Amino acid sequence: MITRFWNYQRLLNHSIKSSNNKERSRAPFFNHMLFFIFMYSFIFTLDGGGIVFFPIICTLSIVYQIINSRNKLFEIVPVSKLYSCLNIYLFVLGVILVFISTFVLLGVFSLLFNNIMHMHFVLNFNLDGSNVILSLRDWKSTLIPGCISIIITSILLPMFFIKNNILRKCLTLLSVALATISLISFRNTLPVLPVLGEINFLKSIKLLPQYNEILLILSCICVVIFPISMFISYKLYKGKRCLVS
Amino acid sequence: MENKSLEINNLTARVGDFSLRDVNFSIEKGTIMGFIGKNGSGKTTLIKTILDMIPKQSGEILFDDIPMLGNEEIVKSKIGIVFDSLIYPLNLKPIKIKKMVSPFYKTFDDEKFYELMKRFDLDINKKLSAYSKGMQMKFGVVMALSHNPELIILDEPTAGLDPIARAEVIDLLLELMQNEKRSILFSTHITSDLEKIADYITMIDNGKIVFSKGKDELLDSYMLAQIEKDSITNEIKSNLIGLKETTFGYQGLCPSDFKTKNIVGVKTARPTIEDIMIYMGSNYGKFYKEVKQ
Repeated sequence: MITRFWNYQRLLNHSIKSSNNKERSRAPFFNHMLFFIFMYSFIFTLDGGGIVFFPIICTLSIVYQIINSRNKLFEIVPVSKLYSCLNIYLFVLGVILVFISTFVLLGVFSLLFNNIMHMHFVLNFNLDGSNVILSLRDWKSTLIPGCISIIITSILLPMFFIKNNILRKCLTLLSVALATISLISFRNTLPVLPVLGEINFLKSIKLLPQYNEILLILSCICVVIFPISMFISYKLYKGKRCLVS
Repeated sequence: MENKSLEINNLTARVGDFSLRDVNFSIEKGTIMGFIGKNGSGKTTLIKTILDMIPKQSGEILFDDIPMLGNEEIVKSKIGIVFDSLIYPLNLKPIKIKKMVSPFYKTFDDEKFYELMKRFDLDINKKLSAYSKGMQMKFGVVMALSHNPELIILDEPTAGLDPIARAEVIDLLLELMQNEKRSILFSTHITSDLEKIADYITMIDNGKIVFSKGKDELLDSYMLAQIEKDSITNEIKSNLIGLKETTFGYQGLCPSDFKTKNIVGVKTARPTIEDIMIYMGSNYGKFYKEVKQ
């Protein structure tokens, strides 16, 4: 059971590289484009705080490629579609955990490095290292973006299973655009930092007067939306006539 | 019904501008079906649709009377597939791929895997990227056969192989057919391979099945006719399929019941599958009518 599960995760992982030359030449342009739009709009519009969404964006980009590649290595083995679907969701969680662990290690390393060197500077080169360190020091400010990440994942993943190419791409782009606009709008409602006199996405979140209420609502949404997302993905993966032609 | 390892009824599917239309054919257990057609005729599309990699719009696909939808676990365990290009990641060694894939098959035979690897002279500890294209294809065949499938679907498996390796694969397939329950769907351009092993031939053109017949019945149904320029008449022309003008006269395929014995300047010969494919390929409309009759 566990061997099968582990091997299926490995098959999913290797599905990214299992394409032949013909496949490679048709490289996932859409996927890369989506990744850059998503990543850059988040980083530039969320005062560098968009970095907390980096794991989810990378994961979604990888999963899009796996689900929509021509040679689906994970589909050659005899398993039910439900098993495949559940494993894809688990794969998403696994990859996110890997990214978060890498981030934590990176942050811890940066902190240690700073302490060892007795210098009070943060690397201004990395993917905004100050935000990585801030995320680690102030975990409270990352809870809301974490919940938002789960909601974005739950909305986008079922779309990746739509077999109609144009419909899938249009809906994905639309969702990415809406997510970006919603996050920018959310950022603009955040309180101004008294010290700096301006809004900083990560730092301002914890100053929200209704922080606990918002976190509770978002957590509840996550609990409800995730299984619904899995169910819709399974139905789409199994095949719905109107969405497969 | 029970004797069919694969049955396709009224299958329709669409990929971009290309569509498979009203596809019907079946493979009896213990037989080899050769699947022919020119490039872009829909062979790989049909195979991928059969395997549910391309969604079908309508129709029915039954594997030993079981539909794929909802029974993926049972159906896929009974099928061995070789695609026209290697599906496995090139950065892995065959031994790792085996370890990764074998737990999913109850019938995966480790001994058989090692035996086939040895037989094809493939190093299990060498990365697939270090294999030649022919070796990669052979590895695909090994992986498809190691779990003792009842239905083997081969999409141009001999395309990148040299004649010796091709002969090895063909011999292996013939050995496998000693099991009477086993069936093979063999898509290829190399029709000489089919002359050796196929029991039935199915031809597809532009997404539509042109014919699906017993090989001998098909070869007996037609004659390859060579007609001298002076002997050609409108009646002969109308009976020839894929009429071609050559330096010496005309050449074409004609139904075997077309009486040519008394006509001066007409020579006939038994066609090969390749002849039938070539002449039919250029004259599908006319031929289709004839096969229907």
